[in-house]
Amino acid sequence: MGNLPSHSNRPHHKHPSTMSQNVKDVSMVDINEAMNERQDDTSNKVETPGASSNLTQSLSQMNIDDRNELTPQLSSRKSTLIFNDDFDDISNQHKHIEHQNNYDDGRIITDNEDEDEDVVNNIITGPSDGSASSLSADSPAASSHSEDGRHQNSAYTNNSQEQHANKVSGNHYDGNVQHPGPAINQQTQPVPERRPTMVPVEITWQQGGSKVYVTGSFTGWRKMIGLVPVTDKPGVFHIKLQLPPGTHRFRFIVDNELRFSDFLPTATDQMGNFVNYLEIVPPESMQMMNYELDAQQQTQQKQNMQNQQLSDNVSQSQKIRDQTIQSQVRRQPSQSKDGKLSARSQLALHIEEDPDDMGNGYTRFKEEQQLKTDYEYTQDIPAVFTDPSVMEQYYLTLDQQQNNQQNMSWLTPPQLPPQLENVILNNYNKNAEPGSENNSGALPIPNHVVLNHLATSSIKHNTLCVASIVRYKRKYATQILYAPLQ
Amino acid sequence: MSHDPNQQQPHGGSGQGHHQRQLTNHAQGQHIGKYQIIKTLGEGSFGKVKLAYHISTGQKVALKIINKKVLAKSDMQGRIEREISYLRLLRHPHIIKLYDVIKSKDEIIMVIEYAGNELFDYIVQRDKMPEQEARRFFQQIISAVDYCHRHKIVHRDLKPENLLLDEHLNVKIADFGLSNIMTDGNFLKTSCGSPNYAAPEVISGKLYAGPEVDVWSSGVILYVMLCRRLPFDDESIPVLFKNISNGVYTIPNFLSQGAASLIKKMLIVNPVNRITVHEIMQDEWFKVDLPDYLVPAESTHQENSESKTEDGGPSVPLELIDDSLVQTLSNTMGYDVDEIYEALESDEDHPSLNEIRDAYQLIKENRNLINDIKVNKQQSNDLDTFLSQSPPTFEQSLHAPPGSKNRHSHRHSKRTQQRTYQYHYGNGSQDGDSTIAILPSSLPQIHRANMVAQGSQAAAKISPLSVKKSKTRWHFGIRSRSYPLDVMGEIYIALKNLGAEWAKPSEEDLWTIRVRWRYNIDMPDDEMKNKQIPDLMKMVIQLFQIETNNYLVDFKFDGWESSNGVVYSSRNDDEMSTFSAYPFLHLATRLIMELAVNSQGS
Amino acid sequence: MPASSDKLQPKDQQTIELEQKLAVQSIRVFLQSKTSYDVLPVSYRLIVLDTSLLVKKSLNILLQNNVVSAPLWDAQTSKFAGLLTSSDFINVIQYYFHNPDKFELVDKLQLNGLKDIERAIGIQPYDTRSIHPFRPLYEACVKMIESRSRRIPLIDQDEETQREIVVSVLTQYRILKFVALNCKEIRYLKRPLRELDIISTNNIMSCQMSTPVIDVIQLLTLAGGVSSVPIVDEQGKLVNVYEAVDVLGLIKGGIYNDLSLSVGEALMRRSDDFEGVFTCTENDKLSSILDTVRKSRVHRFFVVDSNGFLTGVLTLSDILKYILFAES
Repeated sequence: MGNLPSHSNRPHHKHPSTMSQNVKDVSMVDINEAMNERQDDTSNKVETPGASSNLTQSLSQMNIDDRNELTPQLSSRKSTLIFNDDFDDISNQHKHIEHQNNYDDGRIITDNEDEDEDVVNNIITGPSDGSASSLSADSPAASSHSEDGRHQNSAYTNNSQEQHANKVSGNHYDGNVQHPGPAINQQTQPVPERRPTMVPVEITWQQGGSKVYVTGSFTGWRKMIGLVPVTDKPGVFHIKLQLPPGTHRFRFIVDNELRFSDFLPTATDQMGNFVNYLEIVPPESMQMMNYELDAQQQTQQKQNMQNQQLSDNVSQSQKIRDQTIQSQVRRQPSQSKDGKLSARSQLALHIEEDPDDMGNGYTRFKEEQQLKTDYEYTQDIPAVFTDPSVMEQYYLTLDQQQNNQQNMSWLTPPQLPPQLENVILNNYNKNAEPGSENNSGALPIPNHVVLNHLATSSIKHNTLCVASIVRYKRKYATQILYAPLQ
Repeated sequence: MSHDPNQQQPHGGSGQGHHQRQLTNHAQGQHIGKYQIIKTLGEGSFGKVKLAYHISTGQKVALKIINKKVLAKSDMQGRIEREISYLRLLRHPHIIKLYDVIKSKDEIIMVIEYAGNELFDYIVQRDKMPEQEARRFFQQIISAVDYCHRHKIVHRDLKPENLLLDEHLNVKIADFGLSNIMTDGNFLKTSCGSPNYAAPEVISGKLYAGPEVDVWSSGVILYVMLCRRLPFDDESIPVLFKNISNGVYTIPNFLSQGAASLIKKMLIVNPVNRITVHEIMQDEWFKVDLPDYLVPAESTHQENSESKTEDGGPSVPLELIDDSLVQTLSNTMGYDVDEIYEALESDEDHPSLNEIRDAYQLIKENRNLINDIKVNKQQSNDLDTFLSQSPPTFEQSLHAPPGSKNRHSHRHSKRTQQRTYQYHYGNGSQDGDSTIAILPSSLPQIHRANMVAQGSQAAAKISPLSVKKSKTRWHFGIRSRSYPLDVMGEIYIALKNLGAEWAKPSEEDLWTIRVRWRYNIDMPDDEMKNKQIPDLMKMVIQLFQIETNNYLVDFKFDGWESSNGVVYSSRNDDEMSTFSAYPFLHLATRLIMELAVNSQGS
Repeated sequence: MPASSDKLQPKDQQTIELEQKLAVQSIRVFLQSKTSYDVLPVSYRLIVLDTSLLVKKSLNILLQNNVVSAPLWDAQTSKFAGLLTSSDFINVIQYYFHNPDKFELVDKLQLNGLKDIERAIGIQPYDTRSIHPFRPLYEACVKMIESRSRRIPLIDQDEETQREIVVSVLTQYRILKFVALNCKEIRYLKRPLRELDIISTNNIMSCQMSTPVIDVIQLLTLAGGVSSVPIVDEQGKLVNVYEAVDVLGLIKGGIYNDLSLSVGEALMRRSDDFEGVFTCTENDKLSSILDTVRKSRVHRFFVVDSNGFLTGVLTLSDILKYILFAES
């Protein structure tokens, strides 16, 4: 999709300003610092690059507000909004229609980077010299690449650069090279053998069957652990396991099919499959809560449904920045072998207890909620879209910008992102062969960027059909509406 | 801004800093809040980074001291605040922990987990990293990146310089300054991160969804770890950008096939075809000795659970069939041997075949189970330095950003869709005693033949209802071939005629219209008022360029507002609560009709 | 790993009955512990029609999208306005048949006019009871059986904007398929149908190939929600079935002149990919019935004796009633 047409005089995508002349030495400064990002990417809308230039002020000086009513000749322009898509179709072929307008020199711009081509030249395995493309010191490709460690890193200021350069200069890669490295690899002792303390947990299955196994996240979903039948209770099996604290998901294999127990909390993952789960809390907090797993199981079944509803009703919109997340997240520091908290978690606990005011002028930083940018709404159409003289000005700046190569990417509409090229509804029709129509109406899972966007299909015998993919709890509903064209 | 900017001393100071026992003179004895300064680690763009220890616990921390004045001047304000807000939320063994943030009248101090080394140094100072070690780092990186994406955070500046190593050589992702939040329906744009690690769509300033750019950078990092050089590196910037945009790089053949194929899938130029984090976690090379604590929950048992919801037992994976297993299967279960082979070879969905396949699978897994128990008595080691496993935020309420999942499950569901279509013509199920059947005379062709046989003249006239499957072709928004200015003009006119209003556009977003439109339904006003039903719908109209002279007008629902001032877009700006799209679809149809009418009219 | 025990020696009658009883109860527990939301695929589509659409246009839309019903949305009140199903089209045919002069009105009829048609032919309006997607699945089944309808809309309300959300429409077929897919207990439903008092045998209305299709349509409206009429030959052998959804094909494009055809001729309108009519006998077991439901889109089984004579019909709601209420 990255079409970088060479020389049509229509505005086209040069590298946006961020990449052009003001990136001096790429190794020193990464792109964003080069571009004095004025308006950083706000979270809600498509952000726009901050590069501003004096020209834009001139355009906006054309005060639009005093134009009261629309100049009549506007309606005379022939609109070409396409409402039936019989002739062209973006996704599969990029047909270029010569643009009948004196501005354009009428040349057909070949799109040399058609998307299916780029896989071809995407990977060239090894330099053309055919010899093993291993980076033997003498192979041209290797030496031309700068091996002097000139990696791009914003964190390092200039003077440390040389230090690294000489350290790494040795450019011999063959396997048996001795380690040029300084101190760093002395301290790489073998990773110590220590396990977080395990918590004893009893898992029971009481829904009959002759052979019962359990598998789950604690066995990496690969291995299965057999359960032992409980002597005096037919159809009840159990196993005592040592599990680290945290959430464990698991299922039972009863007479070789996958089951979930209705007497243990169940949850559904994104794919809509049911699994049982258990929250294991570290021992000392477990004594505090002194709930005994088995005793709780009888009430579990009723709880099952509320859990299900509670988990799904916890509104999706729980704000990610919501401070309450901090308090809600259960403190589950992992223990080091000898029962005491790991260093990192001990530290975290202590730090939390430090008071907000830490003496000699230091207090805890509480970041304020950024307030929502509220807009001032109007019904006046910006002049650049209505007033021919301003339009003239726009085209002048466009051409002027184009020939002296300095680039204002805001002058042209942004490139359509690939995710917006295909609507999942199209795959639905394509693979719904007549014989075995997909009766559950299941569709592929959409990318989050296409949610809430309007999808349209052509107007046929004046019925308009529109759709939008909406998130419903943890699933995605493509809501389609057929409406008449009054 | 990595928290380990340059140092006066050689950076190689190890985690414990044990070779600087004595307090060097310039280590200020003073302490900040509860932290005693040991030494200055380095100088960032905003202030110093100091090594200190927490007085009551004696634990080492890094203090990132930010000078407020310098910060205000340099308009990096947003970046620092964002880094603070995200890091505070994230708690993952492989993400650097922000313990606390302290402020004084002229400084903001970030108290960060101290990790002595940088992956960059580790790579550079050693010879080529063995594949197992690179894989271990890569597994830790991907698990942290997946965790961020699950929290809808995109890092956007992944590079070895931002990956720190603690004394146990665990990766800790740092520097969330350039990260951003993914929200439904919105793209990200700011091109950031260093070009060698930046995805093609980022360096060409295009819009992107988010997760895919982190995947590209992780791919470059994997390449750097394995090949000890950059896949895209060139003196001349234009050549560098050209190589990145076309995905031109060389794969040295000392790389194993598994690693090479994974890198190739990660460095695919087209973001839609690029492998997703979820798929990386399913990759065979990736899964080799993956520690249990890193195995994500739902994705792994995708295979058999998915087949459970769709059809018979899981088909036996392709690797060769173990004869000894077939033998044990046949004497324990009484199947004869070639019946078992026949069942294992075909993946036909058929109860008795599934049964044999299930049995074979069970014996195979059990055999592995027995071997495992024999082989490694003690459990594989687990690193205790973690604060906790990924926080047990309530799994159900936390929905993974679909973005990172969708291509996998997209392909998956496509495959499952394929499978669901292999419905067998249900002419009586296989188990012996069923007499369920299809009535032959009810089949259309046979029925027509019978009718013709009985001499019905109408037979010739009446043709079967051949409804051509609606090949309605769906597109986002409406397309237009005229000038961008004219298209926008037409939309503004239509909006004005329909009585909608819009936010005053700033210079940069000339091609965006933020519409606010009264949605009046004839419900008695008082009911509306006291029920607080918001009556102003917000919509964002954006003009995109498909290719020169071909544009697309995109409409996006943007929440509700109430004319009495209460903003209902959603309790928080980025997450729309569940809502019905039909009011939006209704207004969109009215707008499209207005545009259609105007276009015929003019 | 022994395969399930019944493989090895035939079980006696008594254990079969016990296993069936336990299996039915465990399926019931399954239905109580799951919600309608759980039945929905993770990503699904929902087609809704604006009530100001023409009836004949909405017919084409249903056929084009291969669906037999769709929720209606009233743009004026921004509210859900019931379900469009084949019985609405049957009502329109009835009305037109009794008032042939009203073709103009019928042709220009909008979806919001269907209510008047119902009043005109004296049909009590279709029961559009809905259910919240998070109520237990068991409750959805009970509501469908009480309202004698084969589908139920799932309606939720957006807390913030107090607006109705039509989440989806759940059908008996999808619930039974969901059970067949997820409950392995159906393997233990081994009792023959005749023992279960599940087949409805009394006053099965049937017709002959030559019966005019309009009479068959009349039958479809009389017998309270029956969705198909079996066609038998002179001796009573089952030959074919006219289903309510076949009406959609009959008046495609709003042309009503096919009403004079015989039911046999009308059946030739059926599209070639029609899967065929499913038959079973009273010795069949619920396990194989549900297995067929899982594999094919079947909405009812016609019970025939060994030489093909029609003896009864087993509909999806019969199966559902049995699972919900029998054996308790």
